[in-house]
Amino acid sequence: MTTTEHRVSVWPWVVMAVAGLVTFVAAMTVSPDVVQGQLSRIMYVHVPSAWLAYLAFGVTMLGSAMYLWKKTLTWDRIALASAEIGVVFTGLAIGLGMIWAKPTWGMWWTWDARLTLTAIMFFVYLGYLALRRTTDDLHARAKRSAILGVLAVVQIPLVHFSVIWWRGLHQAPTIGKPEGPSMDTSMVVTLLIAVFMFTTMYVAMMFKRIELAKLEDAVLVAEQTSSGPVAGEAVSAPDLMRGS
Amino acid sequence: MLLAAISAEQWNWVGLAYGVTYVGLVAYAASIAVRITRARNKLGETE
Repeated sequence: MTTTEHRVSVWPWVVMAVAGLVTFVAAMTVSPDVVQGQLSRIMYVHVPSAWLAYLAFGVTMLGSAMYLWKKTLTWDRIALASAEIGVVFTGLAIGLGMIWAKPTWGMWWTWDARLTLTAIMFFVYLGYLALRRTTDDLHARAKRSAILGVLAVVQIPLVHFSVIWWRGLHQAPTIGKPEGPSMDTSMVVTLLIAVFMFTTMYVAMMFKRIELAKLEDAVLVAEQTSSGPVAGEAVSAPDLMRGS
Repeated sequence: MLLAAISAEQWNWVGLAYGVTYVGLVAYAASIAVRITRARNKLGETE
């Protein structure tokens, strides 16, 4: 291995910090909503988190499909990186939704279609990450998870349109309506800034997570090809013929 | 007076939400950094 292959890149950390700071300043300086008051500020982290869940799992599907087509581990690493980041942002979207729900709905959780389907999506992608731990064979692992990565994407439209198909407590889309957004322009602009900044954060995270996936694969290959004894060789086979 | 109390309580919820967001994101970013360092060290050992 040369030092060029394992070059340390600092810029993603800087991008993440700047994106987080810009989102915070934008969300704290915009005027509060006339009905929800200060609580409307939660929207500027809740909605971008939910958007990133869609984007990340969409990229996982793309990486998975490309792996199944090209059989290149680079695509598998992209799928893995995006799935893990997607799980983090889905968890955040659920947690932030619960924090927003308590003072507005009077409860932390309800079995509304949007909430339930988002929770299912969260656990399916946790399962995707768990599935990757079932084998050390890089291509077997990539193939198994790629199949799930392609199939699981069906949940994105289900989650997104659940508020239209099954009306519950969760509000219907506010921005993507044909008649235009039902929010003040300053709030729409702030929300778009937050979405853009979170997307930038996602791209920066992807660079670091793919770098990590590459290193982890290199460690796995190095361990498999090293000449040292493996654990199984230290255990002797039982003598089944003894005493007969 | 009542409006100020409501606003203060709402700010508590906003604080909790942003606290969860930023602590969560920093923790995840830190976990990536730690795992990268560990992997680099392991590779240094195996090479």
